[in-house]
Amino acid sequence: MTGLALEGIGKRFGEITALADVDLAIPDGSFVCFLGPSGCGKTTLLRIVAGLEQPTAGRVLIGDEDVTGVPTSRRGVGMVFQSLALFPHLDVGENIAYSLRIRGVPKPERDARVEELLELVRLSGYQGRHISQLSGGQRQRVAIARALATQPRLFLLDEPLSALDAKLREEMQVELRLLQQRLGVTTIMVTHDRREAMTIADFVVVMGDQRVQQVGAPLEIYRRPRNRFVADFMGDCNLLEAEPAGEGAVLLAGARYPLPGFVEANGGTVTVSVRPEGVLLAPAGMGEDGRGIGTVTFLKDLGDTLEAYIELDGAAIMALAPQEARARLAQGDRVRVSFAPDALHALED
Amino acid sequence: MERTLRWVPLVWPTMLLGIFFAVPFAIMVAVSLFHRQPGGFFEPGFELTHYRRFITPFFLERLGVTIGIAAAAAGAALAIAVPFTYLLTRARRRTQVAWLIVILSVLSLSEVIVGFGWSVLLSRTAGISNLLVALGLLEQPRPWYPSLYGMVTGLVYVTLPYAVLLLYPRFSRFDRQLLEAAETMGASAPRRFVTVFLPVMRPALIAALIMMFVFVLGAYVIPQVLGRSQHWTLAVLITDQALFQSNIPFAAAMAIFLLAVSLVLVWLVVRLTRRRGA
Repeated sequence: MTGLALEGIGKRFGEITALADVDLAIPDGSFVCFLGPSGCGKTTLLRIVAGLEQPTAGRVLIGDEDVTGVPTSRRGVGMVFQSLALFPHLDVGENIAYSLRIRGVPKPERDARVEELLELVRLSGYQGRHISQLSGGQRQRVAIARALATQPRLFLLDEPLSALDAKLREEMQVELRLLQQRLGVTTIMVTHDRREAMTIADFVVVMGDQRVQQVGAPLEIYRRPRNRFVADFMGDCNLLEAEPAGEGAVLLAGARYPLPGFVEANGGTVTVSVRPEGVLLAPAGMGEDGRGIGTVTFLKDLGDTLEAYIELDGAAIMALAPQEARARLAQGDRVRVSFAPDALHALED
Repeated sequence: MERTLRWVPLVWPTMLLGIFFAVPFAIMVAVSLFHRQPGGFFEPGFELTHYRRFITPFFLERLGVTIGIAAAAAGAALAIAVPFTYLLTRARRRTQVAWLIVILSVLSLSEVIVGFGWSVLLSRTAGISNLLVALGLLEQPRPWYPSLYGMVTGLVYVTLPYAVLLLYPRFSRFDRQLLEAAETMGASAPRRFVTVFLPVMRPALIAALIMMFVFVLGAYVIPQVLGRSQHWTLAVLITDQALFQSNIPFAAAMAIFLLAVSLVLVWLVVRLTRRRGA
């Protein structure tokens, strides 16, 4: 069953296109991240799902029900806002119970549910605290508990962790993921941080340029980006121009490398991507020359990682060298460049 | 040396406050205790006659009427200003600027002009009721002044701009995500306004209410022009005593009494509406 389906969603603000042709189906109970740089339309898309923004084209379906014209207040979504939007005039318990009060749930039941939710976000006993007395992380938890109070069909989060410091953010990511797995609620989170998306998501929707660029499991997208935009956005990546060399192989800087499954499409060059950790370096023997031999132009030793910059027949390649290579790699060295099995990937454009 | 120099910037404001506020106020307090010479001026003395005279049914009733009118006008102005300002902050930038200019220009009108302007608008011969007759809503033109409603209308008109200008900055800084959050939690638009917007804006509303209340308390042109004599506020009576009855000590005593009562009321409002916890 689909938790959420978007069909041909488009959004224009006057002359400006904010979103175009978004088609998406999200399985029930999964955790999805809308990932992209600022201005790519990911927040607009989330707001369309919530009903806070009306699409100018397309349909929104929650659990197979068309909710395109349904107002936000009747969509049954729970949302955590970027500013958290906790009510400053209410205490923690009243904030969490707000949606229950709107629904006319009697007080004893409300109190019991608040207690349950506070336990869920590990804030038991905080009912009477004032919002201004809470730390950033605690506010985050209250906002999450409040959004989950009425057991929404969809749990939406708009960059909720961006205001936290790095350490707390990573803790909250893990906690959020565990919470979501426990509750099994279909969840969408907007983020611009690819590490965050990879930590949390079952599926990542990479957005750029007002469109969906690629949808898939985080590792799949990391290893097999569809185009340059995705390859770049998902972290350090070498993009190399290669010549087709028959079926299942390409010519890179004169050397032939296997590329399983590669079929030459329309001739000409093809762009291949390879992540730094997929580049393998071996010392080149004395006098060894020619194909597949490059020169180390720079070494960036960050302690936990060792990055080697290689010049290979005019192309610059960045490689992540293993720790033990530190002793035997020096600037100016000549190295044989090869690629780990499956590390090479041909882009679609 | 440095310690003494730190006080230098305070000398000028302290001097101004002293000359233009503290000294006149002290003179007024002193005069309120002086002896009045009938038909003339006053001479130094110490007597509580004027205060005693104030604590009589007639003047206490005037005090009650004054406070009632001030509260009614301030309340009515707030009831108009809150929804108006709320809608104004949601309008486009250009619309907002245009309205603010209109409101500021209303402020530039003197109370006298406003009072006489409304007396024409509310009159039987040339007023709004003629328009309603022309529209078939009234049988015949009516005089709507002098009356309590005419007077409160005039007072609301002069205080409304202050209310809007006081509320506008607070309203425009209101975090709209709070309303959106309430929306995702199932609250309808009126419910969001009542359960989120108004409570969050409460300090601003109270501040505006107090300001308008104090402002109306001191109004004396409009009550005189638009009200009947039984609606005249203390300010009118004070003027009457000071200028026409030549009873400066009694006028001073009334002014001090009014000041004390309004201070107590403001303190009470702040006290009763203080937000718990915050």
